[in-house]
Amino acid sequence: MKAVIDTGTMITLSGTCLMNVFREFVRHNKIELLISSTVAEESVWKPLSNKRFALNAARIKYAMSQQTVKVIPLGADIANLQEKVMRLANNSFFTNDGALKIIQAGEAEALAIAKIHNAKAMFIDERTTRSLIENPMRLKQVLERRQDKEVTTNKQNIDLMKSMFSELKMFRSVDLIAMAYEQNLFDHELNHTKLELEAALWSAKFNGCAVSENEIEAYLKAYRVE
Amino acid sequence: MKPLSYDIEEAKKLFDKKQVMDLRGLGNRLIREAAFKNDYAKAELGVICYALHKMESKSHFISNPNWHKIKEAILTSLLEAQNAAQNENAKELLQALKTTIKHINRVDNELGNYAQNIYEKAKVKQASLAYSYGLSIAQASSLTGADTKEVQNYIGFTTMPDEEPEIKTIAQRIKELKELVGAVQ
Repeated sequence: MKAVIDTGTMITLSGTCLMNVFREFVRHNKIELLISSTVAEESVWKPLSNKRFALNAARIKYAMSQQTVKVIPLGADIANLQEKVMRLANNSFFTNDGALKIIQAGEAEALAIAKIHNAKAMFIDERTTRSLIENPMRLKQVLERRQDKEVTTNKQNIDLMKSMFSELKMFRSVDLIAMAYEQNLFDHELNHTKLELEAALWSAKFNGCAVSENEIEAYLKAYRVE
Repeated sequence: MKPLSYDIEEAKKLFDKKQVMDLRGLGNRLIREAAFKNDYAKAELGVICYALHKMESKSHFISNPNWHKIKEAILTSLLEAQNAAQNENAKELLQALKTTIKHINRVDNELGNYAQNIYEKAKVKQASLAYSYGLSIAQASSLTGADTKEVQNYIGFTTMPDEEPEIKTIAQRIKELKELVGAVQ
C-alpha cells in the first residue's frame, strides 16, 4: 500500500526515538511510504544546521537512506496539483475579513503526492489539514469557536476537495505507534508492556501529535493493555 | 480591524507606560487579526509586542542602567515604523520593524539570562496562538517566522489538543489502517 507522510509525523517519530519501531512497522505492513521534497527539506536539510534538532534530523536522514521513506521530487504535475489544492483549501473558509489561509505549500504538496501516486493513507499529526479532508464542516465549527466569528464556506471548493481525496484515509503517529504495539513490533526498540506503550503515546503527544489525554486513556483501557 | 499605524501607536504608548499586560493583550489581538488576514506585518508587530512585554516584566532588564537608553531606541524605531505605515511605505515599514527586532535581540544578547532569545521564544508562542485560531502548524509558523519543529513541540506541551475532540478514536483509526494493509485477522 502506498502512503504519504507529513513533516510533523516524521518529527514526532524521530523526537520519540521510535525510528526502529517505525522502520519495522513500514516493512512489516509492506507500506511504500512517500515523502515530499519540501518535507525532506523541512524535516532534514534545514534542521541539520540547528543544534537543537540536528539529531532528530539525522535520524530521519538515516530512514531516507534506508529507503524506509522515499523522497518524491517536486515535478510539474505535483506543482500544478499542489497549487490547485492550496487554492481550494485556502478559499474554502471565510470570515468578514476574507478567505482564511489555513494551509501551506508543504501540506498541499503532500496531498498532491497522495493523489498523483494513488496513496490510500496519509500520516499527518496536525489537526487542520486532517480535519479539512476528514470533516470540513467540523473544521468550520472549530474555526468559528476559536475565532469567535461567523465562518462561511465555499461549498463548491469543499466538495471538490472532498471528491479529490475521498479515498484517502488519515492517520497520526499515535495510531502508528499503537498499531505497532498490537503487531508486536516494539521489540526492535522497547519491551512489550503497557509501560512502554503508554510512555510512547504520551511522548508522541508531547512531541506535538494532536491527541488528547482522554483518547490515550480510552485506548489503553479498551485495549486492556497489560 | 484597526490600521497598522494605529496598532503601532498603541504598542508605543503601552511600552512607554510599562502597561505590560495590555501590551501582551495587544500582541495577542494582532496575531488574531494577522491569522484572519494572513497579514505578516501585523504578525511581526504581534511578536514584537509579546517580546517587549516579556522584557518590560523582567527585573534584570529594567533595573539595568542602560535600559532607559535601549527603550528610547526601541520607541524611536517604532515611531519610524508608524510613520512608514501612515505613508503606506512598505519598504520603510519593514526596515523599521527589522530595526526594532535588532534592538530587542541586541539587548537580549547583552542582558538576557537564557540561551534561546526572547524574540525567538515570542515567535513560537505567538505562532501557537495563530495555530489555536485554526491555522495549520506550518501556516502559523510561517506567519510569525517561527521554526515549525519548535511550534509543534510547544503545542505538544499545551492542552490545545485536549480541547477539540478527535473525529475518530485511536482504535477506530487502527482498524481502518489494518484493513488498508490487509492485517485484519
